[in-house]
Amino acid sequence: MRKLALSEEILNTVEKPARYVGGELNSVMKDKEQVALRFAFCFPDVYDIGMGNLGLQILYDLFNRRPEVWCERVYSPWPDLDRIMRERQIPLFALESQDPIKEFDFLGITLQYEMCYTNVLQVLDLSGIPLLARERGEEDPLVIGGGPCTYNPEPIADFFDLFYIGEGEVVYDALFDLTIRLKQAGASRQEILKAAAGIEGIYVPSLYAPRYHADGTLAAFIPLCPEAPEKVRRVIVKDMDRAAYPENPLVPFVRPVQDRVTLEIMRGCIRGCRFCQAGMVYRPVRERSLERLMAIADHSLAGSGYDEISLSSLSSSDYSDIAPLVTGLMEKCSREHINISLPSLRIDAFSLDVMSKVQDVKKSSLTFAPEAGTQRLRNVINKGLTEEDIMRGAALAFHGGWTKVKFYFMLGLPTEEESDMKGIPELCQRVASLFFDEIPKEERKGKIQITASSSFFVPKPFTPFQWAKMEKKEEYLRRAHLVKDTFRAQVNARSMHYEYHDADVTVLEGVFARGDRRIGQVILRAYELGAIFDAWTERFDDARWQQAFQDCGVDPDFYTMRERPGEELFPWDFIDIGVSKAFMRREWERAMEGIVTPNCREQCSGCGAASYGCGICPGGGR
Amino acid sequence: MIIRVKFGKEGALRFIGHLDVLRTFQKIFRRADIPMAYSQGFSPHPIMSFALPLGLGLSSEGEYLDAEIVWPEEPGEGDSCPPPDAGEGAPVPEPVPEPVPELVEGLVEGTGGGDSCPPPEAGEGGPPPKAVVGGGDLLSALRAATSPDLPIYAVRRLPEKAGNAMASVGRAAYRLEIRPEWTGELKEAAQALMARESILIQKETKSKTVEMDLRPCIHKLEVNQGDSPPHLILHLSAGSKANIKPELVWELLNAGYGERKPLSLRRLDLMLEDGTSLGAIGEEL
Repeated sequence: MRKLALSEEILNTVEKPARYVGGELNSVMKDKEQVALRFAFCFPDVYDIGMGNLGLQILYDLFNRRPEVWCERVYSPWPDLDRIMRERQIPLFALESQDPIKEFDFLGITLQYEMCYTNVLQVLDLSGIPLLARERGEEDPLVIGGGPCTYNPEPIADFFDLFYIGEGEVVYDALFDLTIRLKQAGASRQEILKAAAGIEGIYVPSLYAPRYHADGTLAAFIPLCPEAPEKVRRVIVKDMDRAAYPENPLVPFVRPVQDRVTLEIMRGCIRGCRFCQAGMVYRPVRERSLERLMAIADHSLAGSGYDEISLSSLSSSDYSDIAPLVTGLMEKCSREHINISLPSLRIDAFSLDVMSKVQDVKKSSLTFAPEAGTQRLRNVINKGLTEEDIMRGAALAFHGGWTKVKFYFMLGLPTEEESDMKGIPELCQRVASLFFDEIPKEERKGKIQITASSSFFVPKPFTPFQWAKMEKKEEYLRRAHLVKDTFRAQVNARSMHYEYHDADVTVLEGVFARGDRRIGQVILRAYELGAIFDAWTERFDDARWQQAFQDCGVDPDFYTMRERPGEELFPWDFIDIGVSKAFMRREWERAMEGIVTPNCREQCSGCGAASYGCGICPGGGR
Repeated sequence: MIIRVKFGKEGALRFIGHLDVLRTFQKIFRRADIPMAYSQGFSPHPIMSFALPLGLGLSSEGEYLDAEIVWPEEPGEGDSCPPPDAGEGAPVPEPVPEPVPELVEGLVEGTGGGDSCPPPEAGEGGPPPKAVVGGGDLLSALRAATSPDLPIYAVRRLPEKAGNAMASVGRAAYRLEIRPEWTGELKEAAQALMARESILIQKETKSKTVEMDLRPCIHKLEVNQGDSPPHLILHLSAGSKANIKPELVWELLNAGYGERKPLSLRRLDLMLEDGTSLGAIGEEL
């Protein structure tokens, strides 16, 4: 029988005790005496959110294929358990062995969104690991960060011993080999870190020091020893068909956010939207073959027992074999009572035909993501979707029986004017009118319902908009209110619903996204003031953060309210993602002129990703 | 064919709620490649029902679910694969605390013929069985697909007219572990309680509080100290007519001793009103 770290009394007290007991189908148990390296993989949010993460599933499977490595999982304890653990000094533990994290060789933390940063500190703190990397001793686990936020790791550099820059499948083997070898040879923590810095894709922040100009901008980023390379190159999977895929995915007992098999059909995106970090940092587009995907689908469904499968990619319609893939899956799934979920499909005749077969048309809604309200602004952001595309798709959908349509927009994009803001409700109105024009009264199967939601744009590193200025919270709210008021004034206002995201969080995300090492103290201070689970709206308290900025003497406006000059050195410039800064600057300039750049399939724009020699790039193969 | 699966809940599973156990079993059947029958309608769901939900935190070695599976009914009929003779099938062991993989392997070997038979043709409308699973194989396939904390003890085939598990539950048996120093007091309290003609209690329902007599709902109350560790055995009315929680009797026995809690609380079995175990109904596969 597995032991449990928490007493029965505690488990009977806390909300959803299943979050802390492990034992799920396909979770991996090993004998800790028989392994050479123990890795605690942490998703710094509550179990229900983190459980289904595909990156975690891939690496959990990959690491555990090595007999001498045991990878276990850990999530953020919810505040109810957090309080009990602090009161009774119960150390944070991994789900599988239920052993304290402090006993592990590695604590790997996946950083999926900036608002989890205080949860990183919570996890370290509850584990009994010093929050600052420089205060850790020989016995502490090596704390390594990975995931999307590592494309600017500087705001959290003080808390990590290493970062993994790139796709997880590539160099963890080398890192584990090196660690096992050096530990057995009795090497010190510092020696291991210096050696690890030599592995492509591994960044050891303590081996670098930033220098600043008098105006606060970065002057230089200096490697402190010969082992630290000047540039850290992102590592990527070159052949997706040969990359490992979890055919026995973990299946939680409690219903997670993602209660299905995820089928990652490709990585990267041909589109090159100028606001989108994923569209840049996952270049070039690399597809899995149809044969491999069908085999993965078979194995993962059989190995997990899930009754739903979902396609995953940044833009599934751009997958070369999308039609045979979807048709093949539909045949398999209707035979075996399995549901298919098809997010991120462009609305056209093919996708509507497929969707009418796999879901209830009356209940489901169709989603468009124009991101901006006018064609002018869509050209600025290089969003390929035109008004004609939207109208044609919507007309097809209305004839197919759909009456619910969702739209996603962003406010605060560079060059945004009042006409662009008003363009959002006006576009929605034209779609509503289209419904009444296209569908005669007697054929209408329901009321048209349009839901539009907008988030506020946050400029991200490694995008053409990384130079952009943000706005103040008040200005964001003014724009949202203007959109709301314009919605109210539309003819079919009663068929339209508009909602917008929180503005407080936006500004903070902006600081974290393009912050430097001086932001670390602010995060630490906010944590001391009680901030955790900031990604949860009801737990987020902006006052705490304002206090933290003040206490640390850091001005958030420095990070958000400047349009950065073209020549400015960015804190993340030491990372080489393959896509050049010159390309992104060119894209910024084209954006300012409203010029659209063709997608990767139409024409190569010479972004630099071809240096990886794979995928869609000229000479890349596929 | 309707089958009854006897299973247990240990360790982590004690903290998994009823609905999550149901969803987990749907996955276990899929992993075991046992095709289930589906309900009709736009969103068909597998036909499966559980005897009696178990409270969060309790372990158990006597839980039951009934499931309808797509299965060749009669030996030799059409293209169907005949299930192995009952006599030749692997012996179904008594509940074991933790089924170990080696045991599962042994069971697979014990069944004959299943592998060599071609799969039955797909019927009209229904999904074709994906794999041919021989009689004893049903149990081993389920065991190979479950997690150690959700042990599966037995699979039986229910007769046509057997009531479903949920409707037929009448009693439940529990084992409450106690501290050795409590045994004397508890024995006295148990004797006194069982000697009473009626035990009137206030029971809260959704809308009102009603008075009820608990005495006829307690079918057995024993304090055992010979075995170690000492424990209480309770047989209580359960199911739709009267459902008595073991905690309620525990509180009565321990009135005057403050916040005393049993060291552990485990369900041993579910039974019909006459005391027959739900696991004794139907034929062994």
